[in-house]
Amino acid sequence: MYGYAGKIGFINLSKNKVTVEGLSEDLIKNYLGGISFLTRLLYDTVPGGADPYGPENALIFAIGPLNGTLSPASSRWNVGAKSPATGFIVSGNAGGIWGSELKWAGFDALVITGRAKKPCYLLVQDGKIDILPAGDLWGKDIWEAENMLQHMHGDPNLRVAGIGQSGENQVPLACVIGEKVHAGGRGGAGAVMGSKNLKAVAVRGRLGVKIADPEGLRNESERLVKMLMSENHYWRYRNIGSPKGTTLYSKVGGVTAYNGQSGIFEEFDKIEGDIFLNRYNIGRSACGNCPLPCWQKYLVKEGRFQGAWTEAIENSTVQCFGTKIANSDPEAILIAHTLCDKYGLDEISVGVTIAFAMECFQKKIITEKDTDGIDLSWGNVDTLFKLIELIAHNQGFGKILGQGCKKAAEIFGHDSDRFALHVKGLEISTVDPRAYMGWALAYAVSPRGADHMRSYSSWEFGEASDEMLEEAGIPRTVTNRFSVEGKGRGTAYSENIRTITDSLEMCKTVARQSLGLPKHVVGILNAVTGRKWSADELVRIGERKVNLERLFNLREGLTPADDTLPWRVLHEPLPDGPSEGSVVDLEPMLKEYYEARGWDRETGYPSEEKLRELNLEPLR
Amino acid sequence: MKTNIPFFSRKLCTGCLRCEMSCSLLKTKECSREGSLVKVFLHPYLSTPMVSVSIQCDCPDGQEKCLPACNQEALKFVPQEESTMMLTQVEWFPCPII
Repeated sequence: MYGYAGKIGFINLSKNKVTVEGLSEDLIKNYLGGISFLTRLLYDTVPGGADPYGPENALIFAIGPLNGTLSPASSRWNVGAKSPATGFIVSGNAGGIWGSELKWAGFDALVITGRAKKPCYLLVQDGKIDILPAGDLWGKDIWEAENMLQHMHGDPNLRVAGIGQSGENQVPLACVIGEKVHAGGRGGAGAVMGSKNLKAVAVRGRLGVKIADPEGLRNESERLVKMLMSENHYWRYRNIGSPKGTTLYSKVGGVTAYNGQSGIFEEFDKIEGDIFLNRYNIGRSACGNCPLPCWQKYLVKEGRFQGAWTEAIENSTVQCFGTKIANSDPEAILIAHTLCDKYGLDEISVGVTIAFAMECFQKKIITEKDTDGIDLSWGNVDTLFKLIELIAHNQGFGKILGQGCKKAAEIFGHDSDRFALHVKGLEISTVDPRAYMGWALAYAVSPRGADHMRSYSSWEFGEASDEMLEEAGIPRTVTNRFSVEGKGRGTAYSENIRTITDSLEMCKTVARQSLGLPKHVVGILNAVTGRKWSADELVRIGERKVNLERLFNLREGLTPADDTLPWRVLHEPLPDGPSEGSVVDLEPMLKEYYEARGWDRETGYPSEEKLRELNLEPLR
Repeated sequence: MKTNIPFFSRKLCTGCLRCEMSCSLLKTKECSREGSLVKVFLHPYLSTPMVSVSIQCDCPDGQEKCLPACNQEALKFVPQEESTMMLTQVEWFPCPII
């Protein structure tokens, strides 16, 4: 089989049993790979109403047909489950080499169910899967655990995706981290992994990926790399990395400062992207097969944190440990990022939940009596470090914050839910929705909660080419960040094409412009697989996966009322900055989105016609 | 016989493995790390790269397929007569020949 490894590993930890099945033609044809594989496998494996922490929940890893090949930026992987944070479907996408290593090890997906009697890890190697005792690995942070596994197996090329203490403690904010710094998992996939007593999935592969048309792959790869390097975002990400994005959001007044009480942070110049570049940067790396090395490395050379070293901070890191909690110390941002990587925590949800708690403290909804004596004043970085420790170890006040801001608001009361910035129980990832209407809608309708990556509608950032708008069939008004017109159709289209990127396990940073368009990637896909996909078929696969996620969530009790935004962004205008006075006018965008999707505005269900069109009718 | 000497830049190499994928594609018509004659080693603690080239590399000088795959231009094959002077350039390391 070209492109694919051709196998799925099914691991039942309760029975200590591994079975391997061939990849079905039906799955390939209708779901392509990666996130779409994951969604279908999850839908079929997890029964409706399953306890997210129960053995009946499944933890699934999946990759796509381009992993492990010369195709640019195609080494990512997805991990998903039914989320303990939202109760709905969740999947996270991460970079590094792990995703390609899984292909070289002979698998396209791993479906893990049950619960091991004792802590264990999986060793996936050259077509074989072993369930092995975790022993002393349990209790270790992710960095230690990875190094221990490499030593135990005498192989520095062993690639490890695993959980830290927060996953072991089943904290809903826990994620799965690959190769120390690549976080896969918002919505608590790490907690699900912990509930299964599974510490890590260590992967090593020496098998080759068969290529249908080697010269075609080489030519298409060169063409795509050239196209990428001609785009304006390439150099920005290469030279500075994701933190530069925060500067853009600061300029539009959307950095959610003080938990969204302000759109601007008065000390932003101290944590601006160039600060990280000029003061701390010591080089850059790339994920597997990626021509865009956006993964920057940082070293603190002097002062309190001298010698501290970290990698791959993002725009979301700068906002969540900077503007949102009103911290202007860049070194504290680097340290908090490293702590979350080591403990295996979703830094977005951690930062937003701490910001929420700080506002509660400011408003005296909680006091030091409630926080075990911790001073939650804005910008207190020692409090930040302390709270991350407590959340990871599920101790003291951290027990409350580790549940996320939605549940913390239920505990704190006093209308604090009005400024708990989450959707469906998942914290808002980056920019303030009041600054970009398209992202506001994306947050509201994302199946995994407040998240921008499902839609990743970069057209509001001046990156919408005429070609892209024409492909999408949407008006140029979508490029106006305050306009609501076209945002529903535009978001639906973006979700479809971003699904293709996630199914191919390409990187959405790389694919945020031309490489995100199906017509530009269909050639390389066909060269690798020897199939004759069309761009339209790929878009249909994207649409199918979005609808299947919808069906999963409807089965779990989702209603249209869940497609909403926090009270603050719907009712409280931004008080300052370039987005002053803005609130989100959600309903017209939702109406347009539901129409574009063919979903019933009253029930939330896809129409019979839509399900028939997507071959999903039997699942209704 | 190949005569040019491979060098890599620690500053420019990102550890992406595109050189390996390109080489294995040429040699085996598949993509794999095992099938490549150029190897990137990533430090398990510091994630810094180091690049080696097999003594069996028989690509004609100037036609190495690993080169165009590296858009960061972190690899160079230098004529032997110029290779000693390359040692004065601190950024560039001679690839171990294995």
